[in-house]
Amino acid sequence: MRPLRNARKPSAGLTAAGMAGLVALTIAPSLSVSSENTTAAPAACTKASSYDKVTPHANADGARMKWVLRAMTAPDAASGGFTAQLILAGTNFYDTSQDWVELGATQGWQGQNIYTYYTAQGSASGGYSEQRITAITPSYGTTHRFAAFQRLGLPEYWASIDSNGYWSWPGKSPNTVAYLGGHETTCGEQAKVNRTYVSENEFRRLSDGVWVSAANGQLNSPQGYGSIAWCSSPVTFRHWMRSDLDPSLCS
Amino acid sequence: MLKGLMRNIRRSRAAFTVAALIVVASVAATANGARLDPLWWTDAPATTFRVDRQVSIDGQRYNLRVADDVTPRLSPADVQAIVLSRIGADGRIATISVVATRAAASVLERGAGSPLAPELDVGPVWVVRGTGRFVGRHTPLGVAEREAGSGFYMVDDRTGDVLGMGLP
Repeated sequence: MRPLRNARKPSAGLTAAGMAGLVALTIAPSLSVSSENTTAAPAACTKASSYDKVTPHANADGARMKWVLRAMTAPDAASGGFTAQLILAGTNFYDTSQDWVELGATQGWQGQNIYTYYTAQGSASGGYSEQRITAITPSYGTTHRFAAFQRLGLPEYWASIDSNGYWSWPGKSPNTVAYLGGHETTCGEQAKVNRTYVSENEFRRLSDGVWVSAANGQLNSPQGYGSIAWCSSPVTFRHWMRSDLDPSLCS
Repeated sequence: MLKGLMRNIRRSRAAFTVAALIVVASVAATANGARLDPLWWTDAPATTFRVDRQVSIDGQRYNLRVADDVTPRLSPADVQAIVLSRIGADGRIATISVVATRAAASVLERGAGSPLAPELDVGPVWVVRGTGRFVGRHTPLGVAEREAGSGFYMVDDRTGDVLGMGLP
């Protein structure tokens, strides 16, 4: 080990972006929830998201979605911001807002403007942790299945990509009473998410371990920066934010 | 002699039962679309440290631990700076440990979760625990960030990149 030496003075750190995160959820009844905003960027960034929320019609112990990875930008990456495509499964009988396991691909990670897979969890008691997945690297235009599910009847959920487990989160048990899929950004005013097609949308039935297609779903885009629309309701859908790709297509 | 024979039979039954349980679990894991990993039924071995002492760097006094099998590329001061840049200049470091792998790091910080097979051997990893402004930003869609006054960071010794963090 090298000798101890003076530490560098810390730089800015995680501070400015995303401070206005708490936004009330609104349920959009229309087929397409859309409101693009391409005006000049404001001084501060606010968190924004577009997602489908599913309430499984049977007891569930996991959820999975398959989507094509599309280009994203994270203008505030240097200050800890990100733009991510993700799935998030509620755990321990809690709603997704309280106790969850999350998995996806993010542009922007811990102050670096990099594109990487990641997983995170939060608990109803206030705990939170996130981990970067380093063994594989995401690539635009490729399609992958992202799954978060209970492990072998044990109190832990796995984060899995293409049927390979990468991280285990202990303290997580069924039921998964709801799950989400879509995109999230810490800078809704400026970020970009090219049209992302979600072609599989399933939960795992607790009683027999069978993956079952969603029978319901609510499309949400509460902050109005991004958009989301059904392709084949209530299973397949697409979401985007200032997309370079035609948002009307399901591919 | 009869007692010995019966004892051997009981031992064989026990061994068979354990083997059968492992086979059944393996089949179930495959059916679930996931691969088995070494951490499935046991934790990574506990790390022993060749360095375990108090240090003082740039006004920060903390416990430094270096695992037996690790010769890190970064210095504790490097790692201290990486973490302080995230938790704020007023943050305080409590411990800095460097271990061989993410598996070993997850033993130090249970809240970090556990790596599975593809991530097990990534390392060396610095594990830093302290107080300051720890912010979890990957919160559910539409929900505020989570923040706490204590937490941990995990830093890749090869690159200086943050591998993970958690709170409290």
